[in-house]
Amino acid sequence: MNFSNQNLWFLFTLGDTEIYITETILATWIVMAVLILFAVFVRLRLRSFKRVPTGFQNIIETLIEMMQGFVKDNLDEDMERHGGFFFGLFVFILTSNYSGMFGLRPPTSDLATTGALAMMVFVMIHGMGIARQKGKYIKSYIEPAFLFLPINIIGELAKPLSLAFRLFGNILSGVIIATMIYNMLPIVFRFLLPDVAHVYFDILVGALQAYVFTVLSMTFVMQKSTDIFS
Amino acid sequence: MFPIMPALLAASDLPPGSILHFDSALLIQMGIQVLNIAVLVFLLSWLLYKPLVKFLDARTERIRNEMEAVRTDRNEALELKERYNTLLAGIETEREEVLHQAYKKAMERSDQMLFDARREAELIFERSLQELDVEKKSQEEELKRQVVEVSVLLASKIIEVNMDRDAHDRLFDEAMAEWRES
Repeated sequence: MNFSNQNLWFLFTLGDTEIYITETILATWIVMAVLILFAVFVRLRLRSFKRVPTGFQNIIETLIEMMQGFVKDNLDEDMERHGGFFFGLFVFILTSNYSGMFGLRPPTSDLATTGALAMMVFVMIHGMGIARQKGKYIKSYIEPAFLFLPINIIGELAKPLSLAFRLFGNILSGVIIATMIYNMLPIVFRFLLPDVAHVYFDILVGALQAYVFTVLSMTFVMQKSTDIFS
Repeated sequence: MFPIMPALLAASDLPPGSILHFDSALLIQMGIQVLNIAVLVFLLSWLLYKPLVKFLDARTERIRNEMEAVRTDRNEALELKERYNTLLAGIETEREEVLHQAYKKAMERSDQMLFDARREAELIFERSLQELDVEKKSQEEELKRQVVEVSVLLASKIIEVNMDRDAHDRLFDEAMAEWRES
């Protein structure tokens, strides 16, 4: 059994470090391609969308309205214009988590992906904090007293780390368990019995973790963009 | 996961990967993933999220406007209905008043006609009585004259006296005077 993220192609050497196209990166590109094609398809279909939705239009509208619901619940009116960022994160994480069902190694089972996601959220949190709070942003690190500066800094660093490791751990554990089940079973049973594991680890945990990551990201961004001490 | 890619690349001579590694390769791969995800997030937001949100917002706005228009129209219709009901109530009162006046006028007219007819009848009756009285008197006069004339003739025959015209007229006048006195 091999749970590791395999190197597929050599890319370049940077210093002493050899960089490869890994399973994760290839899976990410596949997920990206699928999502971009889907987005283009929906964008083209949008012209024929009717006033009263039916069929495919219903599914798309439900997805967008669900995301708008998340955005409205967790962000204020001024921040709602950044809903597209969180929508992108949610859709990517969800599709990545579900990609395991189609024979790919989920990109979110690699710390490079979840770390990248967390890094983007980290930039968003502090970018929005500085843009909206201005001077109060710096002050927020010494609230409620200067003594809390180290704790506040650790707290801010812990947010993206917790986001990254939570998602990585949950999805990787699903990958490991699913791989173990596949390897334990005789070949003839590999097409039926692992379905239970897929339903739980890919569908339920996948959706839950995508939701948790997105909603926590929104909450962290909102927290840092609001002067909670005033 | 159904591992298809390792199976396809099993013969590769590349170094094996790892589950978790904290080194510079992780940072570079993280950078590649940041680029990948940033591009994807931008495209999904640009191609999918924003146009759909715009579409949904426009539809919501259109429905809100239509609801507002419907609400305004409904209020206007209610106002009109109330106005028409008031007018109808006024018309009903006016109709009753007109009918009452017409009835009253008709009754007055009817009474007047009856009164006129009765008076006319009375006049006709009175005139007839007067005419009858005049006729009666005239007939009586004629009858008296003829009786006198016959009497004179009879008397003249009876007494067999030749009587001239003057005597005849005198006797006639005397007889008439007696008749009248009687």
